[in-house]
Amino acid sequence: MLTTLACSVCGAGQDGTEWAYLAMTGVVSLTPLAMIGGVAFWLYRASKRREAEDAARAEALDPRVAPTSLR
Amino acid sequence: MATTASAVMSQVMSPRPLPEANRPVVPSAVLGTLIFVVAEVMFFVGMISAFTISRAGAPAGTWPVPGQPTLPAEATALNTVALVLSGLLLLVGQVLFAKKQAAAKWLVLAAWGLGVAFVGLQGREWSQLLSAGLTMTSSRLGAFFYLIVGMHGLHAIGALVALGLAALQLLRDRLEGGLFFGAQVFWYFVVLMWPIIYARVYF
Repeated sequence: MLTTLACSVCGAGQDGTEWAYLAMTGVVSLTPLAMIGGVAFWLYRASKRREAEDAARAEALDPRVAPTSLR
Repeated sequence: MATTASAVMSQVMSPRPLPEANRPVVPSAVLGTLIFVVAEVMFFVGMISAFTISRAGAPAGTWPVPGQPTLPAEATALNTVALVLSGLLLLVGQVLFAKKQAAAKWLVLAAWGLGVAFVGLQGREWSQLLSAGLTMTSSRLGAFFYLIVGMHGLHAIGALVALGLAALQLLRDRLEGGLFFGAQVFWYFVVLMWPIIYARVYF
């Protein structure tokens, strides 16, 4: 016999769907945080790398400029 | 006035490079595509989440729907290999492009060709499934399948257009890094999203 439910949520209390709700709540909650954190960290790294490149170029052009590590 | 003139003179005489205030840390095309990709990942995560919950809630014996064709997981493995290989070729192409090596253009073209092959194979699979009776309205599996895989296909076509433009400019030796990197980010998103969709929807 087939059971007909009005919508997917009507079966939320069943054992079979409980893990799916919990797992998907975790995925939907954590994915944006992980992505935004990842992009922010990547931008931070890119910014630091750019600063190091600029400092190295300035040093190469003018040896009187103190190395970044000594500033 | 004297102070301004002296500041200008010291800048002109200084061997230090002028600050490049307008040089972005990452190309705008890459940052814009990244923001777009973050939004699109959530779009796909939402659809996969709905599919997972709907499938878990299906009463026993109703998934897949009796009388409906099953998804051709084995045949789609070939499409998956083509797409992943395309992503790897593009990655190597990017490394060679950074080293200004001529082989980069052929790798990017090969990656684009494999992407086109993926979309073509997907189209053939859709045609077979439609003729076998799996449509958007025939079952929940059909509705989710065409929605999720169809949206991925649309993204793949969009990314292929961007990658094709980049490849064309690369062949003419007029490629700007911003367009290439932006197209790459978009293509990697398409490539990385697919195995998740494949594992979740086809099995």
